[in-house]
Amino acid sequence: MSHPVELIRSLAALAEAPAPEHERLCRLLGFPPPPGAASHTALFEHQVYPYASVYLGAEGMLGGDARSRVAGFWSAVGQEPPADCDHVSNLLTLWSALLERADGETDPARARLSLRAAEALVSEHLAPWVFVFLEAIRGVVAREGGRSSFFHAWADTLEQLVWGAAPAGGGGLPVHLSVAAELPEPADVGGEAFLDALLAPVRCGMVLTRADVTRMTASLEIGSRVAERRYTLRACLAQDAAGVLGWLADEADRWTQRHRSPDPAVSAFWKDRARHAAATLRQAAVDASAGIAT
Amino acid sequence: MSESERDLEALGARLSAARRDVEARGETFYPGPSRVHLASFPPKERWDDWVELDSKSWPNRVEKRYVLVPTTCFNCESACGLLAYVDRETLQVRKFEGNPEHPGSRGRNCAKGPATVNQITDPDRILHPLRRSGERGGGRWERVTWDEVLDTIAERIRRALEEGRHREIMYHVGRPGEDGFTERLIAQWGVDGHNSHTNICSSGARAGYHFWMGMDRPSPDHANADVILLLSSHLEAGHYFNPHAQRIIEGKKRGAKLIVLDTRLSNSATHADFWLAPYPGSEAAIFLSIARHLVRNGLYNREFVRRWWNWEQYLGAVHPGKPRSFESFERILGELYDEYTFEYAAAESGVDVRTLAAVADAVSTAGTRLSTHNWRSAAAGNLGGWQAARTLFMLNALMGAVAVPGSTYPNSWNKFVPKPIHLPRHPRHWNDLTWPDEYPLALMEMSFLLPHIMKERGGRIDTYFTRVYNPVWTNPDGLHWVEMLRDPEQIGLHVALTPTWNESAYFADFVLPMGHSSERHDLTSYEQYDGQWIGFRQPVLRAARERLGEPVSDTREVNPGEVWEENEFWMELTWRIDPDGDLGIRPFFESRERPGEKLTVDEYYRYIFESSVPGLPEAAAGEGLTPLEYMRRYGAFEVARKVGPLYEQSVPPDELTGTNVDDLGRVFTEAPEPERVNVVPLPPIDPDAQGRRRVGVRVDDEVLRGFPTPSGRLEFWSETLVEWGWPELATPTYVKSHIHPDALAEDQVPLISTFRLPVQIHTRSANAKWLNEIAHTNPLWIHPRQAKTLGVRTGDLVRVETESGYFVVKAWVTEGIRPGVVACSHHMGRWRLKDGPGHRMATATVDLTADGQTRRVRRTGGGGAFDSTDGDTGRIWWTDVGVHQNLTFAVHPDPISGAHCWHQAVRVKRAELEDRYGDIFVDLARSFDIYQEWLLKTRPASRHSPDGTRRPYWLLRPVRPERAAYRLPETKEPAPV
Repeated sequence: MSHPVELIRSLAALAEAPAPEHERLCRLLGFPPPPGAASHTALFEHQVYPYASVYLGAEGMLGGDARSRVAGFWSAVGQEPPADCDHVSNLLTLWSALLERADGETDPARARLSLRAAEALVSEHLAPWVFVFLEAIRGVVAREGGRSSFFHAWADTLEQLVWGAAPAGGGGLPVHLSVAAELPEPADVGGEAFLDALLAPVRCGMVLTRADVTRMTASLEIGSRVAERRYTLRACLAQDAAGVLGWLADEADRWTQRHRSPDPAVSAFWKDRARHAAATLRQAAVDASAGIAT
Repeated sequence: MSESERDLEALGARLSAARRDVEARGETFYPGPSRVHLASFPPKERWDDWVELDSKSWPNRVEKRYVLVPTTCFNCESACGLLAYVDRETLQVRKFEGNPEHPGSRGRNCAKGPATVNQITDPDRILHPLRRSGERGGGRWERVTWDEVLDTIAERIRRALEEGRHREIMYHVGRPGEDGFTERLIAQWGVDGHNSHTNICSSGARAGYHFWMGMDRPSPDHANADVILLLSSHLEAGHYFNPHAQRIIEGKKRGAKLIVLDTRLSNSATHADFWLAPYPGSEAAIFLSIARHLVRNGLYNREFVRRWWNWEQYLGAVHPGKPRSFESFERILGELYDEYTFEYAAAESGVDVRTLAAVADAVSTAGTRLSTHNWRSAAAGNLGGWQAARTLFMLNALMGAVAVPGSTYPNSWNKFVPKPIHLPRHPRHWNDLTWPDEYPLALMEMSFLLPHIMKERGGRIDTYFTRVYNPVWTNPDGLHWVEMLRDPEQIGLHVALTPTWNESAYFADFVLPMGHSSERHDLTSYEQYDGQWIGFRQPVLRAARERLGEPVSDTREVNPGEVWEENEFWMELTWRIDPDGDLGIRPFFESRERPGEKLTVDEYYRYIFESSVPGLPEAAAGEGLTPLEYMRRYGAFEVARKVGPLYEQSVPPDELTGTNVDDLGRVFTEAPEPERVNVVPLPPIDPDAQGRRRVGVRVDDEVLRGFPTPSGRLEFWSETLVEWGWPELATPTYVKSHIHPDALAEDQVPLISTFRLPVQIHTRSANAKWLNEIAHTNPLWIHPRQAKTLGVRTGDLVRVETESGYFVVKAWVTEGIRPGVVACSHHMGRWRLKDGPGHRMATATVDLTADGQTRRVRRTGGGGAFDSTDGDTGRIWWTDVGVHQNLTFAVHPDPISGAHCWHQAVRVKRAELEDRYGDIFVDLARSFDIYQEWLLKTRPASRHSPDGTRRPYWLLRPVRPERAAYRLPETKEPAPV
């Protein structure tokens, strides 16, 4: 297929805070009307963070080695990395810019080079995490009854776009994934470090949003502290460690069914991480029931 | 191809088609620049009706609709673009943000830009013309009409001109904020009465650059440099701070090394890879040690030096017995600077040898990508300070880092001054109040000596305008200014054109309310990167009303109170001076469209934009606008980008008819000069004996444009300096400062007083509440070691004794200053007289008392909260407004550049029992003696002129009298030395 540069760029623009131009873009794309600023903030600032480093970094936070790798890619293609170089909007903009560069190039060798750079961007810095990110969005939106919402349409279209451009396998795991450490054993690292790893998708194979944590507290009928996720989880563990760990194990199990990718190796990576997390959490729940400290 | 892929392609195609349609209409398809550019601005097609939520209505969502009108900031020299948000309901300005269409500032502003809204809503601002109603300085004022003002001034000026008293009209400007409008006006009056503030500001650096390349400002291309070498604080303050700071950071992000010389730990120093804190005044020694390193190790650009330095002229004049070869020059160059070892520079500066060597290495790796900059700093602080800029630029000249990417350009090539509707005549008179015999080489008017010269030589000024200028507060020895301004025998009529009260306006006869940046028209262009742009300042309420269909013919119709703009003021005044045109002045402001009628501001700018700005009419037509409409809508236009090394430009054959090439390779032609629409000031170079104009220089068998210097090349050696009596300074060298350790008593230390606070604006920010909240005082920086010796801690009062008096200030003990040096910032210590007018936000009330030749200033009240129409003034939490140190500084005119040498030799002591914070004591007799002592350093034209003229004709001069006026008078009074 030819490269839908404009579509990529429009999806990048639509990941930004709503602006009046978004209405026209949505109309053209056949999307529901764009959300208000509050909905945009609620999703991207409080629930599902649109940064590669959150999904691919060992800490599950912004920045770190994962962002450095992304920044390195920007530099390698001759672009000054912006401060939030791993934001999905920036990555899509870069993708469209590389394709545009290839289209505008009169020298075939240089055009090929730009196309290769675009392919590398997708395979190394988008495809490894974007399906996980979009699945998390769909989860949050669906639970809020928004299956026909703008975000759903945006996520579906973006998934389709990246899916079509991503490699179908055979090239080995992208570096982000091949260097990612597994979820540690709680007994080896202690409770705090284990908790940190649970919030790093690349280590535990699942995305725990604030909405998920709230859902967990409702399901277990325990008190929820309004705070950042680490603090809330810690407070939940203090109330019902076995119940919380068991719920998290079930959640990891659910994620083994949710991962998909055109590249079987990538898909297998995420499923394995979720499966391993489920097993580790289940054992931790058993230990907690038995009063064995982690 | 799958079903879904077809869908995506169709979507992409639909988007592409829609984007083409939208952008063809000149509208924005995507919401602002992408995140890649990290900026977002209202799309320009929505500037007529921009909707934002009203912040004050939060949490309710109340929409406010705005017309967005561009203008140009007036709060420093940078002239950054502003976008005024004019409320469509109230037609008042709600806020100012950056103008993304401005090529220099690119939508970004420092704190001073948005604070314009404070200035226009200042509860204490002057809204009506005022006339003194008691004695001068008595503080009593009455409202008058503009007609009374104009008639009074016009009548006086007309009489002075008719009686041949041209010297008695003077216009004294602080921040010009425009390019040549007033210089041209004054010249057309036939008056050599332009007086600027520049000799207390940038003259030192300008001289250093001017003697090298014929142009007097640097235009560094920081964004593309590999090494950025600053003798300034351009990441925080200074000229072009915002446009330069953003480009310095771009350069750093590209990997450029930043080297900062600053005795203080400035914000710029904190960002540096190398921070050098030299003993003040030793900077030239450091630069020469780097130059020596480059020369001795063959690390300089030989080819550039061979082609572009005037080494042949130097050899012929100074070493006539030596072979006239480049190799011979190289040997001499090595010997000339041999004494400037790193060890020597280290001994002078206190910076260790290893650091100096590392910096020299860094410079040597820059190649042609070395951007350097000096504006005030050391050049404004020291005797011989101009050599700091001269030796700094020598590094560029050695590396070939001149007007190529990443280097330093001459300003005139990065600046565009469009030819106006009328060009003025040259005045026939020479004003020796501002251009006295003693300073034939001074780059600008000897403005700060005016009271001293008047006192010494019995001068008189009939009509004296101060315009956005406050010499009492800004200049050294301000109490001499008070003496002069108070004396009606010396100043017949003082007209203060100012938007805000200031210490000089207290001593005026008329105080006339002039507009801030959103209330006036001006045209600006400044060198901020390798390109040329113009920026249009405009009264935004006028432009907004016109956009909404309401014509406005006089800016006073929309400005607050009776605030006027200067363009219209000067046009009206000129017509009243010369109502019939018999003085030859009126034609300067006559319409071309309606002969015999008065020119309007619309026609004035319409002519410029239609006739003198290449590319603008086409750009405007592309959007269906006239050029004037385009400028009113966008506020700025980039005329050229990547101007490059014009000196390397070949002279086209049609300019090479009837040529003559002299023995220095200078090429003169009979071909007429092509008409220029860019009238940026350049030195007038004399023709050859047959009257052919100089068109270029021959370099390796090519005729190239070269530089506008007498030799046509970069002048390593200045024949001008030799001919006018300064052979020992003909090449870049190190002059020991007046505060060199050799010149100080054991208990004296240097005081640095030149540095600025990043958010303040000389005298005009005192009514900007946001800026004052950030910075409102100026303690004395003192190193802990010195503080310990004196037994003072932060907050203790200290008495700082200068040569002519003292001031009492609080100490700030900090390691951010070199041990053995103290510093006190400019900008603070504003005051108003008891019972007099003044803005209350940042001033202390003072008693000014006289006892013979001594003067004391003592504050009777500090700043603090007060009731006004602005509720915020009741919430002012600070009372300390700083100390006015400049009153205690005697004048120090550099004998060559004419610049005031600001640094002071002081004694710092614990305050005495009777001392109070802010006390000032000055002995006027002593300060006058010091003026006379510095006069002894000069070499007057009457004794040293090589050709019977007052000044080298090629040197730049803001207003240039006709050539005959340059002749020295037949009977010259003896110079007072």
